[in-house]
Amino acid sequence: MTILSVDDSTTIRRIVKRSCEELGHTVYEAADGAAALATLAEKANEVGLVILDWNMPGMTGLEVLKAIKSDPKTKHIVVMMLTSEADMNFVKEAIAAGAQNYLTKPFDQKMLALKIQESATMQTA
Amino acid sequence: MSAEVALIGFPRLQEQIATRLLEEHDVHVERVNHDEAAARLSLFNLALFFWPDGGEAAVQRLQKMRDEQPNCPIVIVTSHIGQYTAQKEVGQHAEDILLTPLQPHDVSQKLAKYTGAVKQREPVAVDADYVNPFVSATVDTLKQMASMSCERTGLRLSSEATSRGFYSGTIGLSGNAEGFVSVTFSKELATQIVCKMLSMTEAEVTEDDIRDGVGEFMNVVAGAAKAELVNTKHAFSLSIPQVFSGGPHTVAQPRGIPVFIIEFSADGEHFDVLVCLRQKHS
Repeated sequence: MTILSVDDSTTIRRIVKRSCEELGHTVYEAADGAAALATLAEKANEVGLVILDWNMPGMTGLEVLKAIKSDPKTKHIVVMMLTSEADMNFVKEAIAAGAQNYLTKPFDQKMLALKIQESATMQTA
Repeated sequence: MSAEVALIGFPRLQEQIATRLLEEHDVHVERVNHDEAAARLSLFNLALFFWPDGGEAAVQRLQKMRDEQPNCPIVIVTSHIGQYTAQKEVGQHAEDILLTPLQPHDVSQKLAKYTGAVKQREPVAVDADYVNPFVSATVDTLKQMASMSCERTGLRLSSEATSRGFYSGTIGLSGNAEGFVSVTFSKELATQIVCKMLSMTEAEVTEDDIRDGVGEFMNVVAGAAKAELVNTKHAFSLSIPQVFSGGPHTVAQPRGIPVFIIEFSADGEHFDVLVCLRQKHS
């Protein structure tokens, strides 16, 4: 599967990339929402999973999620939020907006790998 | 004594996730097949029953468990879609629902409610209830993201927010309460932590890597503390982290508000977390 990792932190993008690649997936990276949507505009048929931060400069992760789910070309893509926003109200808001999975920071490598595997097997409605 | 929790009918991946979350607490987890569940439930303090899509078979299994073992609390684990069918069982054959994707906070809550088995937070004797979440968040973040342990070695009040380390990550807080939180590391400890977060050697990490890692560390600590303080008078929102390097510096703080300096030790190196939070007047 091809995965798009969206996070303004290079630390998190590297951790995600390594986990995804260890699981045999290919990874694109984007440092903000605009770059993520530009990547998806080109590769909507290739990307099967977006791993998305919430708090980023420019568009928030929630805004990016809503843009993905409102575009017929990208709404089929599974989205997993990976964020330090651990408040349940944020989880509910993301799920209501179409996110299929949610992992809060801090996380350990094993849990990240499990969540990526879980997300990779999910089908969008 | 550990609480015994049964995972009934879980797919492999969901079982691994649930087990990992449960085992953060004083809990022994065992996978139980549908066929043996009704007979064995009396051995457990709590049963988590995986509800894939509802259906008659799931209802019958649940009913059989409840009929044969009325005293073991049963919590249905289901998706946001499955909850609509599962809801009918709550009060009849099950006590509660836990939604997937499973979240640590939800799992802790159900464990506490039905077994009392939740890990104890580090006790901190200070007269500022908003400081404790930052202590536990720092310990958890270092453990999970860098596989390092640390302990709080001191706590003091200061009128000035001076960071003593070489690298400092700071996040502004706004909302019911406003202020900032900051972490400050020596060059050596910051390098060590970021190396562990990235699984890289000291020779491989760059200055940019360390700065970004320190900022992200602060971001994660602040996010975890924020979740603990939600719905309190200290609730706040986070800004984007900023990182400073090069030596001691002072963070501008709200006038007249003291700063709690929480001192930690990790692998023999000291670091501080500075918390400055003022409740806004409405």
